[in-house]
Amino acid sequence: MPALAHKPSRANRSRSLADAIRDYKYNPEHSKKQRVAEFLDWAATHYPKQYVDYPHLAKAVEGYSRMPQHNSKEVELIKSSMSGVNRMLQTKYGRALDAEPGVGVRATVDDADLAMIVLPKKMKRIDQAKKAATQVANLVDPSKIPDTPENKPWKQWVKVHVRDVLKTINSPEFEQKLLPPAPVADNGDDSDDE
Amino acid sequence: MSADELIAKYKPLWDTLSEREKGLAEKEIWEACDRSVRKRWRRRNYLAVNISRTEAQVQVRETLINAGEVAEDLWRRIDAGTILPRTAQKLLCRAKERAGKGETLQSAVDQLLVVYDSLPVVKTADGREFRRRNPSDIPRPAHPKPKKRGKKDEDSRRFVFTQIRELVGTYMADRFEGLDPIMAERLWMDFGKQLNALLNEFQGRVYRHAKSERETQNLLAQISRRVLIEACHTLRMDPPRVGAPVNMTIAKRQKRTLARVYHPDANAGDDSMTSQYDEVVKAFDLIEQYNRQIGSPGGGTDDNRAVS
Repeated sequence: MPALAHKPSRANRSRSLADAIRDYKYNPEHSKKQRVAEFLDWAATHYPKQYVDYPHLAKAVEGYSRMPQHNSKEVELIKSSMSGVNRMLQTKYGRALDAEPGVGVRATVDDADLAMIVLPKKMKRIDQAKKAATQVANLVDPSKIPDTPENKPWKQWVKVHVRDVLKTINSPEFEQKLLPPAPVADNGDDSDDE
Repeated sequence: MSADELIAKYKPLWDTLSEREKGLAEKEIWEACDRSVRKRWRRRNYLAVNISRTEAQVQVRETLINAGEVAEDLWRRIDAGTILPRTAQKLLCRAKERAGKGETLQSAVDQLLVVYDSLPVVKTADGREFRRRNPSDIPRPAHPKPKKRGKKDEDSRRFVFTQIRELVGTYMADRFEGLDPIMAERLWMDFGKQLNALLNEFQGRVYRHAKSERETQNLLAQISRRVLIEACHTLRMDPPRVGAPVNMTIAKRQKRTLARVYHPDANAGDDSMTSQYDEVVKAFDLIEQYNRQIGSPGGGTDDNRAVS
C-alpha cells in the first residue's frame, strides 16, 4: 500500500520524528486505521525504534495544524482504534505493534525486534494469566461442590484436567521456557551466544 | 433597457450632463441592474467603476436625489456653480440634524442657506466663486493642557478621601451630637491622619504587587512559550496554560517512564536512544527552570495529562 509520504530528504534526515510529522502527507481516501498503520510503517522505515505518542499520531494521520491534547476526543479515538491497527500491521506489513504506556507506540522493525521486544511482553502476559488462574484454582475445593448431575462434569474437569494443566504450566521447565533469557552483559565476546 | 445599455447611452454624454442629470442617470442605471450585480456590488462602487469617476461624487448625488424636493434650491445652486456639491450635501446633513429637533427640513435648509449666503466670497484658482467662513473664525479643536504627572492620582485620591470622610460623617452623625466641637474636630483630624496612612499603605501594596507582576512577566519572557511546549511534548505531556506552572508530579513520572525506555543501560549500544534520553533530561531541566522562574518550583496542579 503506497503511502503518499516521501522519504525524508538528505537535508532533513537529521530531523526528529516530531519535526518530520509536519511534512507527512496522509492519504485521505484511506480509513483511519489504515492511515495509522501506514504512518507507523513509514515511521518504522525512516525512524526505526522511535515511539510516537498519541497526539503526534493523531496530528499526523488527521492532518491537524495544532497538536491535540492527550485527553481530547481525537486522541481517544486513535487509542481505541489501535487493536485494529495492530491486526492490519500484522497482516499487511508483517510488523507488530509495540505500545509502551506513557511513551507511545511504534511498529516493529525486524524479526529480532519482534523477538526481543514484543514477544517477551506477550509471553509475560501468559505468565501473568497463569499466575492468576493458579490463584483462582487454589481457591476451589472440589469436595465442596455439591453432587448434582449438572455439577458433576464441572467437578470432574476441576479435579482432573485443571489440576493437570496447572501442574504442567507451573513446572520449572515450563516456567524456564516461558520467560525470556536474562540480558547478556556486553563484554565484546559473542562466542557464548553462538 | 439593461444597465449596460444605459451605461453605453450615458457614457459619451457624461461630461455634458449637469450634476442633477448625472444623479438621475445613476439612479436609473442602478435600478436597471440585475439582482446578482446588486448583491455583488455596492451602489457607489459599481457606478464609480462603470460611469462616474469617484465614489464620493456618486454618494453626494445620491444623498441629494434622495432628499427629493427639499434639495431643489441646492440643485439649482449647484447647476449655477455657486455651491459645491459636497457643501450642498453637508448643508443637507446639517439641516436633517436640525429637523430632528422639531424644525421642518425645508425651513432648516432655508435657514442654513441664508447663513451660507452671509459668508464672505472666496475665489478659487480657476476663477470660480464660493462662500467660505473666514479661517480665523473656524473654531479649532480644543487641546487640553497636559496635566502634570501625579496630578491625576492626587485628584482621585483627594476625591476618595473626601467621599470616605463624608460617608463616615453621615454614619457617625448621631454619635457626634452633644460632643464638644473642639474635641470632635480633633477626632476628625486623627481620623483623617489614619485614613491617609491607610490609603498610603494600600497604594504601596498595590504598587509593589504590580511591580512583582511585571518582573514575573519579564522572567517568563526568558523561556519562550514555543520552547516550553516542545519540552512538554518531549515528556509526553500537555503544555500548561499561559503563565501557569507545569505539574511537576506528572513531569517526574513521565521522566521516569521515558528513562526506563530510553536510558543507555536499557539500550546498550543504541546511540539514537541515548540522544532521546538526553532530550528528555534537557526537557525536564527546562521545565524545572520555568517553574522556578514563575515562582512555583514545586509545580502547579494543572491537569497536564500524559499518555496513558
